[in-house]
Amino acid sequence: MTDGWGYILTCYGLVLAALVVIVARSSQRGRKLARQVPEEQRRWM
Amino acid sequence: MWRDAALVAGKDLRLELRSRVAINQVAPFALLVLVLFAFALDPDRGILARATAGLYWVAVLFSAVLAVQRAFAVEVADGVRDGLRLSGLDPAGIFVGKVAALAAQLLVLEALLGLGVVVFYDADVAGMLLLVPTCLAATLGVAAAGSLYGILSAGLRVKETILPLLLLPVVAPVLVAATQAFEAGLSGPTSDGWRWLGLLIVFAAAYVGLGLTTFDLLLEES
Amino acid sequence: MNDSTASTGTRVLGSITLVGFAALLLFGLVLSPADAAQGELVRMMYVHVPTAFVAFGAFTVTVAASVAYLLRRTEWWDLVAHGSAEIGAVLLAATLVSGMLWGRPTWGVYWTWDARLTTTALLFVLVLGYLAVRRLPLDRDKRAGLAAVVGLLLLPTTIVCHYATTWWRTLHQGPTIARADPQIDGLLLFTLVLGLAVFALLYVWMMVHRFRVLYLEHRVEDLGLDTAIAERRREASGALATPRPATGPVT
Repeated sequence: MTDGWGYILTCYGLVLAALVVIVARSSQRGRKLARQVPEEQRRWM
Repeated sequence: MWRDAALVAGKDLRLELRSRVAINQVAPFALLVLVLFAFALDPDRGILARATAGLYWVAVLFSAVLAVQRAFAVEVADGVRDGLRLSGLDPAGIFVGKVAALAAQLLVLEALLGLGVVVFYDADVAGMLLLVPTCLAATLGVAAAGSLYGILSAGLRVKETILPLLLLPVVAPVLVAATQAFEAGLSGPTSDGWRWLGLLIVFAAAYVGLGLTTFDLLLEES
Repeated sequence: MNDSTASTGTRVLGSITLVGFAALLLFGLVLSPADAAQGELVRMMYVHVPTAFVAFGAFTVTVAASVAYLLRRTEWWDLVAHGSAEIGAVLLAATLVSGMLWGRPTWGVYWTWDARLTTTALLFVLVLGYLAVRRLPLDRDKRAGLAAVVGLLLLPTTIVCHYATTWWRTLHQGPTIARADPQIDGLLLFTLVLGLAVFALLYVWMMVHRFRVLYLEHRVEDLGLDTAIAERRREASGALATPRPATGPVT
């Protein structure tokens, strides 16, 4: 059996890249929406 | 509850007798699916004979989606659903009625398809003792699950596309179990099939139970 | 000024998660030894097993929140069910991808119709259906109720699928951690637990953010409705004073 580092790095790379993209898109969307909502309705700050 | 169920089932079956949508459109569609499989898999009898059980149930499930859509489309037109909600009929009774009517139509369809696989795929229906109860249990399960998701999607504008997406994964266990039972009934020793029949009965019981308890909620939400 | 969905709490949580991922990479790819049976390939388990666990946990939260929504009818439970299902779907996709990449060198194929794989694939499709219901163009309360019922039905469906497919085929190895005698090396086990902790942290962190994004989406929808009503009102009252020409472009 080969040691399979290609598969391992692909696996980590794909999963991490997907997570980064999703987090980035979600926070971007959050920023865009937050600007449209008056501050008193965003109580978490 | 039983009287309400008989009323709803009677109404649906009368509707079918007069409009003949299931027999004139759904049944030919089911046979068409069988023929399409034959095109896709070569008319070589070997492959078709080995895959008969699976192809049969895939054809049944596809037609069941159409039948469910039809069964609940008639409830949406002209606000019949609101009438049903206001009619004071027991929701569990309505559910049982819809399931019974749907199951009756599906059983006719399955008999036709059975004839189809005997003629087109050269299937040997020796193990009737297993095949018939399998059909009954699987049909009840599909009709119950179909009615649950049918009423959910009935009022939506995208009902044609959302129903298969929601329903087909849910009835996937029926496909697995019924196919295994049919394979045992058609070729293998019949004894292999009984536990799959058991699973089908459990599935049907689970979804009938779910429907009886949650149909009032579904009728309210849809 | 803070024009995002972040708060001090989520920033702290996010930083810890980030450090956790760095540690997971360090332990998973460098420090932990190769397994006796699986060789280097065991390193993929540090992604595969934690994402699977956390994804199943996320769907449990969705089912519970759906039940709670049907009982209480509050926006909070609706948003929790929705956000949790979204993150669960992402993590389950990661489980499937890492499992395929592990299966190819181990079993020789990316996919096999084993019981647990089939159940997982079906669950993934079911969740896609649930998320499709979430995007239906409906009245918000109606959509929430519909989604809650579909979410509630996820549970019996998954159980039935699990039993059907277990009888059908079984090839996937059983759980290794739950056994009484720990069969795996100490550092391997530590890395696995670290992975679980890191992905659980990620879930909580993303959950807070998704909840806030979905909450903001609802508020923007409300605002849009309010402005639209105000505009119609203005138009209606303005129409009496200065009637607009019926044709021609408005400049």
